[in-house]
Amino acid sequence: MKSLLALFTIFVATVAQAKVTATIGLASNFSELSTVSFNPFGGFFQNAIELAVSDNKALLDKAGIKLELVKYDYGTNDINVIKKAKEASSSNAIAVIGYNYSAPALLSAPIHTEAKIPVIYPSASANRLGTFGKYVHLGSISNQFMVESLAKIAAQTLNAKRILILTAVDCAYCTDLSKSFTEELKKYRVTDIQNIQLLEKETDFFKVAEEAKKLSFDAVFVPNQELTAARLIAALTEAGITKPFLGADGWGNEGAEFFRVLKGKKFTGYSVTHWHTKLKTKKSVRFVAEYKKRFDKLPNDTSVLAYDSMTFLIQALIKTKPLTRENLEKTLSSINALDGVTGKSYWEPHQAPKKNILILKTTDTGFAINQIVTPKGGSL
Amino acid sequence: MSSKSLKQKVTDISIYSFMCMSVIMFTCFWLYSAKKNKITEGQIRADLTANLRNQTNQFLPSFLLPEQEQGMTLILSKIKTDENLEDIRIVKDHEEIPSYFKDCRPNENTVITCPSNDLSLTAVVAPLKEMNTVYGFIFKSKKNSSAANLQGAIEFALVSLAIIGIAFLVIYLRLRLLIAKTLPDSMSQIVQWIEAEIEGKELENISLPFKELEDLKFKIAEVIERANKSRDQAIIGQVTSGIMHDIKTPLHSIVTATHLVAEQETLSPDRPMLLENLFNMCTNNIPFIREIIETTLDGNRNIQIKKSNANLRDSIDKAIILTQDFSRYRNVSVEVDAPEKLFINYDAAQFARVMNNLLKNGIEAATESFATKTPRVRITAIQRESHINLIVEDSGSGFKGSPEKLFRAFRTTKTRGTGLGLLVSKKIVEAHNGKIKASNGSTYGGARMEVELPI
Repeated sequence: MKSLLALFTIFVATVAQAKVTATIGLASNFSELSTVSFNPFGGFFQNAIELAVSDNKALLDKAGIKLELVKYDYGTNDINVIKKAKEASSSNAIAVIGYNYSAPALLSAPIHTEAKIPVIYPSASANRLGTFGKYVHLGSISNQFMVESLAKIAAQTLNAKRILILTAVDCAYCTDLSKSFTEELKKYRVTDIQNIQLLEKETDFFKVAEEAKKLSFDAVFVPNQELTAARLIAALTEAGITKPFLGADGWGNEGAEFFRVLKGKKFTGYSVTHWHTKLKTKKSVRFVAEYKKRFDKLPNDTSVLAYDSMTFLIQALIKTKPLTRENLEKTLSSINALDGVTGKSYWEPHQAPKKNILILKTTDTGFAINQIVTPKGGSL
Repeated sequence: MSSKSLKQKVTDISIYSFMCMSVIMFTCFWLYSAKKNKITEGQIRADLTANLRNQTNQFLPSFLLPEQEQGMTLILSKIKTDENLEDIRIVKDHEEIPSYFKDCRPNENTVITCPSNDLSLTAVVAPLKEMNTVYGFIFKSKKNSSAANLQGAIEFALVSLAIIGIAFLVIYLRLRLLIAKTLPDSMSQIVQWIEAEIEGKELENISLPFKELEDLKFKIAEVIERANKSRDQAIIGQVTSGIMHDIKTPLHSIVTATHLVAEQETLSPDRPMLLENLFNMCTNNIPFIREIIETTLDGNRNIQIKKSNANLRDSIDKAIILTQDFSRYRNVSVEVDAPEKLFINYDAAQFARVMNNLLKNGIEAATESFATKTPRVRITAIQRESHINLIVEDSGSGFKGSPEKLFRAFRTTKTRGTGLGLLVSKKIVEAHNGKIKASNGSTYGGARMEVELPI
């Protein structure tokens, strides 16, 4: 009898200590250097995921969850996104996190939705991502929220009546911002809007600058990713255009690469970001210190958004029992707030979160926090 | 042998070069045409399909993402400009393909190539497909000439340049060979041939590359032949008349003396005196005739001398005595400035001929200028350490032109004579290892003959 009791005790202990493996798909460009934005080989994204897993290891262990991270590398080819999204969907992954930009997010969302696998987009901000509904979870504020702030700056701070928009028409993020910004400006009765269309993959914008010189405007909206935006601003300032420039979160927040491309050219610029390394909240300071210590570099907004999203996913994983895609989706949908490094976020299920954003203004050497915009229902 | 004319040769080279050029050009253009056809068919297809995969990937998001839909037009426009296309468009099926691409049916699984009806355009049609979903087709067409234009122009220029270069090189090498080597070699052959002709050597049959040179050679030969004949006839006439003239006088004296004897009776008291006269005439004139004959013969043969130690002054004095009547008759004053003893190892008999010749020439030359000058001849002999200088100067008009020509056969400034005197004198002096030279003298302003005899 004693022996049976001992065996039962061992069995219970073993079962209690057995871990459940949760496979998480990491979707990003891990193999190619992008010509439009600086996130070499998905480094900022991957580092933040690793840090989030590390920071939450105790919680995961306690919950008996062992995370297995599987990379889905789609390079710089959008069509590969579809292929990789399908691969991830048909794998044993319980969720996918990644697709750092709007186009991959928009391409992958219907695939994951159809496959009923929860997907978290940490930094994609296209407005349409909020329309996919179930299984789609967003970590970034929407383009709409960004242009609301930018339109206000254009109309009220800069008192601009005529706006020139330089849109990369092969960039979903850019066209989405452009369209939203145009609509938002109407609220301020700014309707004199001119567009110059370009392609994101181009690197020489001399012709664009020459075309812009022929137009009359008070401010230029450059809704492109950081390297493209910097090349455009460099070309226009080189052509003698001194009007202020406006941009969204694509410009980045630290601006090292952005200002490297500009090569010291001076301009006045306003942009939006989710977070800044100089944000002195407790979580932010700790995150910057940990990130720098671990990876010997400063994090950027991709890092911090990925970190918060992964933390959000881990929290959901811990609460989900048993771990299935459907159960995880239910848990994710039930969480409507997160106190992350970027601040407190609130959201309706499957919608972009509401949280503070930062308005940055250019200085001679980089970006500086100009103001903090708090959405209705969100605060630091 | 039959050689071609220079003109014909040049023509031949030109034709040869032209034929070479034609063959090379034909070959090049044949190769070029073959390649151009391949360029037209292959290059256009390669150009159109080079970036097709990337382009279809670039277009697909335009179908999948409404945000990027408006990018399609700009992308199409950029591709059209970048690739110098005639047309680019997205089509749903073959009905949207331009009608001049007859039977161009898009394939959902592969890229197809279509020629236009008039073969001036080539098109490719590629499916815009993601997994099993076909969103449409990208249609790109390009002028067949446009791809080949730049490359073709470069190739054509290079080929033409190469052909012209080769042609010029061939022509240049042939002409250089002709002008720098063939012609000089031929001229050199002709000169050698002329020298052989003049020297009467046996002629080798030389081979000349041009008919003109062959003709020239024979013309030169004819001229030499004619010159030789004229010269021979002149020499014969000159020698004959000279000999006849020189022999005529002494022979006439002998004939006259003979007639005087013949006119007398056998027992006539004057007969012994006339016979004595005939004898004297023969004694005095026959050696003179013999000398004329020997001089003539010596002009064409080597002179043998027999040296002995003797007084050269004796030869001088003897020459003056022998020409005494000759000088006196012409009122020419002969002066001598020579030591009494001038012993030297020489052939006195042969050298007497030299002295006679020089003195008689001097007397005759001095006579020619008697109207303006007192006719004079001066003989000077100077004893040197190793030789004796014997100088004969006259008051004549001196030499005109090169005096050295006087020592050639049949050259004379006189109206009569064989023209062999000075040649024989030169031979005799040179046989003594001496030298003889002619110049214009300063003493009387006439000719100056100087003989140098080694002691």
